[in-house]
Amino acid sequence: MLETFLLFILAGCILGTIAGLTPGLHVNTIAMFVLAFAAHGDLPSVLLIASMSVVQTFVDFVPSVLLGAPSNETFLSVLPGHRMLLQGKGLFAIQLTIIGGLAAGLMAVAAGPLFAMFLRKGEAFFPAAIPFVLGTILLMMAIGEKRKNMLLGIAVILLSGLLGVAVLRGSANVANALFCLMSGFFGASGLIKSVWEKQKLCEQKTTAKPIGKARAAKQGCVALFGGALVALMPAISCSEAAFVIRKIVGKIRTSDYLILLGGINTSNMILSFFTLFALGKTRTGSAVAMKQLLDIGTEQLLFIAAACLIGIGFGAIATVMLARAALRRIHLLDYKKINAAILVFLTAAVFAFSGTAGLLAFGSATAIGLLTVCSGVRRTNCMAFLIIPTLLFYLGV
Amino acid sequence: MLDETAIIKISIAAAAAGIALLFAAQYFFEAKEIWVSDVNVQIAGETVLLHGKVDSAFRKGNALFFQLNDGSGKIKGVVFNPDEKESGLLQKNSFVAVRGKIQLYEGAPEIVAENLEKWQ
Repeated sequence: MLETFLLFILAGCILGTIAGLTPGLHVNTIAMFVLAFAAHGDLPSVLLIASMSVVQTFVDFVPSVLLGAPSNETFLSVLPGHRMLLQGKGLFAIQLTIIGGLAAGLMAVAAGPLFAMFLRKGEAFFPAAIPFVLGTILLMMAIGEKRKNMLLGIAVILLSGLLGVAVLRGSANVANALFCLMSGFFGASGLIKSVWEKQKLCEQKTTAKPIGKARAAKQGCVALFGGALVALMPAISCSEAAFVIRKIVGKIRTSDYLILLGGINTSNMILSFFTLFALGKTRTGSAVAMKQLLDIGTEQLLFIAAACLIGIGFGAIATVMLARAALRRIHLLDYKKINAAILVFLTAAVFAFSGTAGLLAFGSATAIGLLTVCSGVRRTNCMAFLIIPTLLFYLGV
Repeated sequence: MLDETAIIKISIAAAAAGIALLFAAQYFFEAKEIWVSDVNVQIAGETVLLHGKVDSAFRKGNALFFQLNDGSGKIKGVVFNPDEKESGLLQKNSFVAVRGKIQLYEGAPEIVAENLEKWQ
């Protein structure tokens, strides 16, 4: 039996790597395939889903940072990651997300049982705080712009929010709506800018600055808090949690922000399994698939925790190796052509996964993203596309 | 300081810890294969594996009740929210392997099935 478990976990690790490297391919899609073929009560399939999901939270950052092709969870890393890539620090940027994932992931496994107990007690309270938190964030976004850009900043917030409401809550019925929107706001708009400005990559540094253990642990704790926030507050995404933390903390170093993003993704994924155990509620697509396959008890949770630990180890090493292999030669390639090719690929992926309606949403999001790129307004204001629909949901509108 | 070597070392340690936990979970939760005659109130709460012939089976609400006979004795069992496969396996005179937890119901031990397999 143990061999079967290990085999399925390894298969999950490989599938997670493939899903992480392929923009547009999410573990949720693969999990649905697994669901179609697995029998009820099939623990090995659940372990495959667990390890696959954890590995993807690491590998996801490779295309996000190197190609500017984001996934649903990593799109906020495109901006700081790309900036570091242009400075020749692509490897460092990816290593920071790995450190975050490692630190917060290990903490999530260790703190998971405590978190499950806490979750049972706080379940009723936390959702009530969401509208207040999100409203405050929107206000901070609006007044956080420089005076000359404030009006334009508010316009970007409103436009993004309207688009988010129309696509995510309206009757447009766009499949993979989140992917279409974030690819436009944070992917395509940046790629068009890169092609337009004929950006060139300098030779990438092959060594990255080591990070202090205390600093990694501190950011890991903050990321764990972010991951817990997502698990505690339904409808809040990892990106929103990172955004909220950034606003709460104030000025944060780019390197710390990347550690935070890596940590939130991994810890949230792991904590979603503990949430399923504690409340029987699902916070991620992977947890939805698991719930349909198995009733999670203490025994199953121990196996899942083991799969998560293996996933953390595999994901971190695979990401280091993939990043190194990709960065060795990336400066020799014509970056403008790569960006143009990714832009075409992203557009094709949106059309393939979401059809014409998705393409329209993608185009609108790209236009708003470009407005920020050209005007100097903060592109993170586009996060209103997620925040406003979530806020309306909690206000009962 | 955390450099690439340290990252790889921690990653290997994490994966090794995962494999160790997998072994431990397997060891602690491995179902003991026993005879029905060995089932008694003292092993209530333990997960066991029984093999036998289904003497009877009937559905009531969301549960499927059955009686298992392995030659050494008979025991009552229940599967909650059974799926198609489980309902198909629990037919009268079919042979099954039942993995589940022994629980006391009105003072008598019964097995709450977690996994059912065809036994040939």
